[in-house]
Amino acid sequence: MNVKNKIYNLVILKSKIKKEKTDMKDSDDLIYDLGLGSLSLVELIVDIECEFDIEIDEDDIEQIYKFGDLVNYVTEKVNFR
Amino acid sequence: MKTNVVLVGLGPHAKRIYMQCFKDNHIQPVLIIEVQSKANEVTNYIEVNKLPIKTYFINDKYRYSSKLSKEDNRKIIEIIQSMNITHAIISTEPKAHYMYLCFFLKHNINVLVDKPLTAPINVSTDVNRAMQIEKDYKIIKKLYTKAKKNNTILQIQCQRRWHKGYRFVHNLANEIVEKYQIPITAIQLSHCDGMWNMPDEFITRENHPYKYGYGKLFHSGYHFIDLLSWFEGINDILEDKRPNNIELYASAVKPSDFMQIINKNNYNNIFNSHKYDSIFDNIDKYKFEKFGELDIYSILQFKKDDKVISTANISLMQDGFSRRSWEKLPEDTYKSNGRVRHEYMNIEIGPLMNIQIHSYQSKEIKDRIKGKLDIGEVEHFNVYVFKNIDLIGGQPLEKYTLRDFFENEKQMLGYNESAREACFREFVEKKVTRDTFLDHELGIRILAKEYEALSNKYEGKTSCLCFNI
Repeated sequence: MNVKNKIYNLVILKSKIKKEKTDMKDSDDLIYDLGLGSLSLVELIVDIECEFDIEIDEDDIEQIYKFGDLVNYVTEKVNFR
Repeated sequence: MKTNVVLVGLGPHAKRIYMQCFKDNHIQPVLIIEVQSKANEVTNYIEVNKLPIKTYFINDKYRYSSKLSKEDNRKIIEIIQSMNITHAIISTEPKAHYMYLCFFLKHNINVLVDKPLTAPINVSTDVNRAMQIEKDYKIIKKLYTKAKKNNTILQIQCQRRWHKGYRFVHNLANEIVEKYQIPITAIQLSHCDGMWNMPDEFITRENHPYKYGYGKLFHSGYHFIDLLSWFEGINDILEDKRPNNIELYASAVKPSDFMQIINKNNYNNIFNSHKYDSIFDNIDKYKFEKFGELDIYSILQFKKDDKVISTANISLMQDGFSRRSWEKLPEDTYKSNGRVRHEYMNIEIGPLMNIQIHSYQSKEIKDRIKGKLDIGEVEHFNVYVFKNIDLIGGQPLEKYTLRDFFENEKQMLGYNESAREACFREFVEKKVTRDTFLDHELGIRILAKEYEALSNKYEGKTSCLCFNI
């Protein structure tokens, strides 16, 4: 499973809004479009860290708003691991 | 800014420890949060003690949720804003810790939380649940890191870190390791709290329970995991010998084992009672093998790559020597139930030094004789330091008792309580000497791995595992 699919599955677990994978767009805002609260966003970040064995910096989290940005950020971290 | 404290949970522990700390430090919590089912009990306590404390009761349905209900969330925010609450002490059932920790950190409230930090259920039988311990820590660490930018503090109440005897030993070990560049090579830790559970209590008890798939490690056991990580952390000052991985083996004694050890006939003979016959007769129904551990035995090797730097051996027990001789469970199920402490720590610093801590009680606190420090007494706590004097000087054997660590007899009484109070005082005065929350990272990792090993064993796999630190 590629990075995007894995992140999609983790987002779905935390999201209040149930979206089909095909409906999820890179431009979706993690909070407004995907229904993540501030706590569930932190929980998602830790799930991603555990899933990909990477560390996500607190300052970086605050710069990530969109689903696509998150996928790109994690892909980059995984590739440079 | 004035310190205004909310106390979450007013059970026997909070009454005995925190309400006494408040009294001794001439302050009071301004708010107590409890569950609705305890409303009468809390209200009665406040009235009897004539305390000007407000209360808020949450719906029992949400007591162990990961988030406060929307309504509770909104109302508690209103209250903390209107009362200018600055500090929260979380002393409620550990299964609720996560919910309150997240809530208070999100609102930049300083937090002192009892151990364990969080208590996911079924950690001794499900590897994923065991891994949740570390996930919880990481989530809380992220929330804390953000809150820390507003000078918010987070402390875990692990009183031995504030215990003058343990601090003396830690400083001494640190000094020798640093001076001679030789690590702590071995630690043995043993703790038995004589908590004899009657068979029906495994099924019914909510305070220090086993039925949720956790036990000794989440009860008093975390203190010793914390001690182990605190002392093993000393070796980190030796750059060329700093461990980077741990090999761990763990094994437990569960209620299902204990029911075999002390069986129906034993209970009939000891208490002349048939009270537990039906439990023994239907033992399969209760699935005691899924319950949390009474005892945990573990060997850990702290390694730098493939070389062993330090070996630890821990034995944490709840089915050993007890002074309980009755069947009925008292109101304070933890402290008035025949519990007596047998605690031992042995630290080897290669061939240079051996430090031993011995603390063995034979009586309960109510039978304490003030000023008595001998073995078997409530205040027994001896430290023995063996030195290779031709190499490091001093006396070949130095012996210390509590009297050497305290200025007066009053402070000596209930020295663990004194240590708790020191932690409490630092917290409410916001004079935290160091960032102790982050010091728990190794302890939490070991705790999670102990449960992961037990879960592996439950699933028929090996309970030996390796992990990086």
